[in-house]
Amino acid sequence: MSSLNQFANDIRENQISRAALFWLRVFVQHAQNNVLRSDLWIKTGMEEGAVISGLNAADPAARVALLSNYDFFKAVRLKDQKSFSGKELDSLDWNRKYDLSLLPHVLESDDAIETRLEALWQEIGAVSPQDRAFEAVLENRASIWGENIPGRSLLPEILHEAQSIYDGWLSTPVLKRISRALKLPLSDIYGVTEFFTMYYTQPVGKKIIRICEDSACTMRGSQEIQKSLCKNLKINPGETTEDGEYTIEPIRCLGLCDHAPAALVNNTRHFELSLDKTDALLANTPDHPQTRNKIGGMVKIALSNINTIDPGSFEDYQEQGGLAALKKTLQQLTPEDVIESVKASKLVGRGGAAFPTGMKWQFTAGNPPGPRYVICNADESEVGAFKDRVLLDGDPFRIIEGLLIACYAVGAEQGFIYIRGEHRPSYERFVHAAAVMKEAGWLGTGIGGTDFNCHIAVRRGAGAYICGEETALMEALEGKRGFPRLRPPFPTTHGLWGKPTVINNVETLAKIPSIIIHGGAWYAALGTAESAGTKLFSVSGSIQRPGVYEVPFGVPLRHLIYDLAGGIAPGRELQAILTGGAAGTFLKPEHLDTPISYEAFKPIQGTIGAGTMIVFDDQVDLRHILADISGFFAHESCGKCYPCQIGSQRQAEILERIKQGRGLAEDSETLLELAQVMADTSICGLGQSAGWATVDAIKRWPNLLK
Amino acid sequence: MKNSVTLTIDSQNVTVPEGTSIADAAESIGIKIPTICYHPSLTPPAICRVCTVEVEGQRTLQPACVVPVGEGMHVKTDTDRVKTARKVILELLASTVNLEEAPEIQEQIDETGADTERFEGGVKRHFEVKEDNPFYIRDYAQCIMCWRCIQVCADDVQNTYALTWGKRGLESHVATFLDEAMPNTTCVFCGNCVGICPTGALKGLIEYRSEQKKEQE
Repeated sequence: MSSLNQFANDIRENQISRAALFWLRVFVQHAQNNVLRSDLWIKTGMEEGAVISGLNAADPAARVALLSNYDFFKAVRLKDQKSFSGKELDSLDWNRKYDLSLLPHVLESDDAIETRLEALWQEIGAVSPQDRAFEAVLENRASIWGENIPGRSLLPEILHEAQSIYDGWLSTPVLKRISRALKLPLSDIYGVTEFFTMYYTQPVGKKIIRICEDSACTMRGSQEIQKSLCKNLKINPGETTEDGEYTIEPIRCLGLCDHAPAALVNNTRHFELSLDKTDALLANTPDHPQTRNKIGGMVKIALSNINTIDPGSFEDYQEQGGLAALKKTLQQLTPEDVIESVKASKLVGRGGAAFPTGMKWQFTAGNPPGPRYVICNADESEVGAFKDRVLLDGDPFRIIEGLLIACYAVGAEQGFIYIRGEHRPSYERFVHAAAVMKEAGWLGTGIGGTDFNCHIAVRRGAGAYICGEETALMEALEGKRGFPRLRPPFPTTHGLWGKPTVINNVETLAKIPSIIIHGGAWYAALGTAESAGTKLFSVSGSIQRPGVYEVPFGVPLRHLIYDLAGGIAPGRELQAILTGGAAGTFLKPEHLDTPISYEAFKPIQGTIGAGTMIVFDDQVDLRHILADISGFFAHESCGKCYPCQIGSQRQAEILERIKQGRGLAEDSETLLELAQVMADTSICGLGQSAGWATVDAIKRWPNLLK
Repeated sequence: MKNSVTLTIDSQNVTVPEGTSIADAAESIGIKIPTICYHPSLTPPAICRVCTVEVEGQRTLQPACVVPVGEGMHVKTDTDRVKTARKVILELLASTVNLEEAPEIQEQIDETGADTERFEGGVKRHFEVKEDNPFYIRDYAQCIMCWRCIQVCADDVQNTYALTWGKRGLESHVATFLDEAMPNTTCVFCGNCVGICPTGALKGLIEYRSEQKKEQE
C-alpha cells in the first residue's frame, strides 16, 4: 500500500512529475465529502494549472501516474456504478465520467490530509527549480536571442540551454515542452537532436570527456591517453561509467592542434595532455587558461591584435585603432564605395573556396530591396584547421566590425555569427563582445549616431562538420538538420530563409577593417599578382612550433614551415605536408622552395584551401593518415546523397583494411573510381572532395596502397 | 504562355517550355533517364544521383530530375563518365541494402552492369522488422533512404509529421520521435508512405503475413 511519504519521496527523486502533487492538491481542495467527479477535477485542474508557469496541466501523464502508480484512489463509473482501483485505473476510459474518492488509508492519519498536502506543496510545489529556470529561458527567448527571428531558428539554442539546465541531456518531457513552445512537431525536434553529436536524448555522464583522435593529437599520443582513461574508468569509448560521473566520447579534430594532444571536458579545454596528468582531466581542472594563441609571421593584419589586446575589452580594441574602419565607413563611404574597395583589394574567401569577396557582396547588394543577411561562418571544424579559432578567441571585436561593414555594404540589418559548438570559450567571447558593443551604441539601432541599424545574433553549432558548408549552415541556423541544399539557386539570391545572403569566413571578415582603412590597392599589393594580400596558415603535426602564421602570398613554403614553424624535430626528416586540410593534397620536400600562392601551387597541385598545413615526418605512416581522414569524412557525411552517404563509408573501410595490412590488388583502382564518382555526383563540397587526398596520395606515391 | 527553350540532348535538338527538367526534356524525345528517389508527386530531393547527366560547361555531373533546361545547353546522358557514375552508385547501394524487392533498381543494376558484390563486407543497413501496428510493417533493411515516406508524411502531402531522420551518414535511417512505436506517434495510418515506398521496406501487414506464411510452407 503506497503512502503519502512514498509519493513525496518519489517526487523528490524525480520518479514522478511534480504535476502529480498539483493534481492531488486540486482533488483535495475541491472534493466534497471526499468525492469529486472526474470531469470537474480535470476542468478545474486545467484552469488552475494554466496560470502556473512551467506546469503542463494539459498533459495527462502526471494525472494518470498519480492514479495508477499509487494506491490512493478509487473511481466509480457513473453509468453503472462499477468501481475501479489500483492498476485498473491505468487504462480507464476517460470519455466516461467517474466519481473519484481517496481510499481510507490515505485519509487515516493524525494530521488532516489538507495539512499534510499543504506542507508538501510548500516544500515541493508544482514546478521544479529546473523547470522554473527553463520556463524563464522560454519566456525570455526573444530578448535573449533577438527579436523578429523566426521561432524555429531558436531550436538549437534552446536545446543547448535545456541540456545545461537539465543534467546534460534532453528527456521526453523537456522535448515535449520545447515542441509546444516552438509549435514544432516532435519528430522534427528529434531529427535535429539526432543530427548533431552534442545533443543527448539519453542520460550522459556529468563529465563528458572528448579526447581528440585526429592526426596532430594521435601523433602526440592521444590514443594512449584515451585507452588509459578507459581502462581506469572501466568503460569503452562511447560509454558512461556506472556511477554516472563520466562519459568518454570519441571525437575527431577539436581544432586545438596547436596544443596537441588536446581534449574537452564538457566545455572546458585541456591542452598538452599526458599520461601523468589525467587527474586534471578527470577533475576538469586544467592548469592553463582557456584561450592561448600561438601565432607568428612578419606581416600582421588579421593577427595584429592577437595576444596584444585583452579580447574582452572594447576599450583596448578601440585604443588599438578598432572601430576606425566602421566609423570611416559610416561617415565617408557609400555601400558602393565599400564594395569597390573590397573588390580592389582582390580579397578572396578564406574558408577554402577562394571566391572573390567583393563580387559576392556586389551580387547580394544588387538584389531588389528587401531583407537580406550576412553570416560569419565560424564553424571551422576540418581536420588540422584552427586559424579561425585563434581569431575568434583573440580578437572578437574585429570580426564583428568586419561583419557590420559587410552588412552596411549589402544593406543587411541582421547579421549572424555561427560558432562551432565545441568552441564554447569563443562563443562566450562573442556573446560578451556583442553585449558590450550594443551597450555602447555600436550594435542595434542608430549605430554610432547614424541611421544605420544592424543586429548581430551569436549562434552555437552542436557537433557537425558539415555545417561549415554554407547552405548546411543556413539550414542549421534555421533550426533544421544540417543538410546541404541543392545549388543553384545560390545564397547571394536565395540564402537564409530564402533571402539574399552573404556568408563569409572569419578570416575574410577580419581582413575587412584594414582594407577599409588603408584601401584596396594597399592590400592587393601585399601579395602576388594573382594572390592578393596575406593568408593565415594553421600549421600542425610533426613540427616544432605548431601555430597560426600570417604570411603575404609569395613567400616560399620553406619560410612558413622552417623559419616560422620551426621545422621538423632534430633527427627526423620531412616526409610530406598535407596542404588544404583533409580535402587537400600532399606536398613533398622538393616543393619547399615553391612560393605560397594560388598560381604557384596550381602546377604542383598544392592546395591553399582554408590554409591548413599538417606536417608529417619520416616516421609517420601515410596509410594511417589516409585511413583517419577518410574515417573523418564517413563520420561527418550528412547522409543526404547516396554517393557521399555510402561512398565515404566504403572509402574509409577500404583504407582501414589497407592500414591493417589487408590490401587487395584492385584497391587503388577502386578508390580512384570511387573518388571520381563522389566528386562528380555528390551534392556538396564534403562528398565532392572526400576522396581528393587519397587520389593525390596515389598519384604521388603509386605504390603506397599496394 | 511560357517561353520555350532549345537544347541538345545526346546531339538531338529538343524544344521544351522554360523550366522543364532535363529528365522531362529527355523523355519527350524518347531518352529515358533512370531515377530512384524521384517521384512526380513529391518535391524532388535529388539525392540518389543516378539521374546524373553531363552538361557541357559544368564541373560536376548534374541531376537531371531537378536541373532545368537552358537555352543552348548541350546534355549528354550516355557518356562513360555518366555510365560509371550510375554503375558505382548502384554498386554502393547494393552493398548497403537488401534490394530483393526493388525490381526497378534490379533492372538498373542489370542495365549498367553494376557488380553488386564489389563493395561487399562493409557496414550494412541492418534493422529488425518493426511490426508495431495493425496496418503495416517497416523493414528498414530494405530502406534505400529515398525520403519519399518522410516527405509524404510531412509538408508534401499529409502534414502529419510522424517521420524524421535518425543519426546521419550511413547510419541515417527513417525514424519516429525517440523511435517510438507507430501507435504512439502522430501517425494517422493514412497509408501514403506504404503506397509510395519503392522497395519492400514498407508493406501492408496482411501482405507481409501472407508472404511469411508462404515462406514457411
